Amino acid sequence: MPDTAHGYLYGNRILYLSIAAGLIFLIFIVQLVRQRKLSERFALVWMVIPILLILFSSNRALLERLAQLAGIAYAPALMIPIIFGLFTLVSLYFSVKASKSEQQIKKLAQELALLRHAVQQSPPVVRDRESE
Amino acid sequence: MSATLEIMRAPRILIVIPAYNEEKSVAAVAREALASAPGVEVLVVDDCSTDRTAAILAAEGINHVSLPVNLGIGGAVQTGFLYAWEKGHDIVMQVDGDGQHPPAQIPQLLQAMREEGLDAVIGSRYAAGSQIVSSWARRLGGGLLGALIRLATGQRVTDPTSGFRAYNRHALEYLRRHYPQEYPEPIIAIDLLRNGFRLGEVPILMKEREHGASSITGLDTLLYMIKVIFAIIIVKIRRRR
Repeated sequence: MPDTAHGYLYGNRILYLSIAAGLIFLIFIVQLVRQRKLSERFALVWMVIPILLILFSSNRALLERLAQLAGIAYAPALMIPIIFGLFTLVSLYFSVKASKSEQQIKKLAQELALLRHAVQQSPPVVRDRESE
Repeated sequence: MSATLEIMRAPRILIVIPAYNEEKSVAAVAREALASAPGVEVLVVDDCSTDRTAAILAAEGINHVSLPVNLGIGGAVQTGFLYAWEKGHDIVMQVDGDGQHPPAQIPQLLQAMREEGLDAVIGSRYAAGSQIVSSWARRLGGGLLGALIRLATGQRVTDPTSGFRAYNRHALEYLRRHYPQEYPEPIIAIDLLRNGFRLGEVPILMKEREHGASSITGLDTLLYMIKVIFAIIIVKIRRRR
């Protein structure tokens, strides 16, 4: 596919921008972990996005090949579905985590309510001894 | 073996009353429930109410647990079921705290469970023999749900959204582990039927709500329906447990 010099420059510019954006994002995530605002487990998931972004952006040959496979003439346009897909996966991952947390919170709340009831119902002797 | 046990002692029955901001009705419902049959026990599950529900229950000396966070009807009822399971009750019932379920008709549910050998009994507003006090929108919604349940399980359930129910310990053992957080009533009907439990209905007459607003009203009925249908499809395609 004949690429004009102008088109190539233009195409590469977006790739450089992508690499820069990926690096900034990566630094931002590392900062959040260092400040203990983001746990390592979640940070790892978030890092997948900038790392893949940098990988695809810095390897034009790989991108061209994948674009060809996908039937996309303008290779950098392939970044759009890739990024969209990655964000979708990450969001889904967090929804799964949230569902699990929801179940855990429910279980804890129920246990707590039942235990509090059991403590209140326990014979006063036990309670007095505990408060001493 | 269960037959021998029945001869040896009367079944222990726990009536679970989920209550979220039902300060006006909950005490009366609990007292009525206690008086409905000899030997029944009551547990009100206060779903982190923001009104005086908890204070009233404590002042009246009504057996209750208070959830530290609001879990919604599913989580609240399941709390009661966990309690019943731990305390060894044979039958657990659900009677809503808003006063629309008639505790006086608790014996009908228990009788049906005993005589028809059911694991779960739903007090139905629409089963043959019950008098209908309901809006056309809700009846239509209920009818649609019923049709869906029939499609999914092959059994007719006339009032799948009714929360006036009784379960035996066999069903309790299942429900204490698997209780849907949202729209629990129709989901449970399907879930139990799909897992081989025997479920039946008893005609009952429900009162209009005494206080507070129903959780299913007006246009929300449509949204409710969509969500429930989605949830039913999920139950249908989920792996059996």
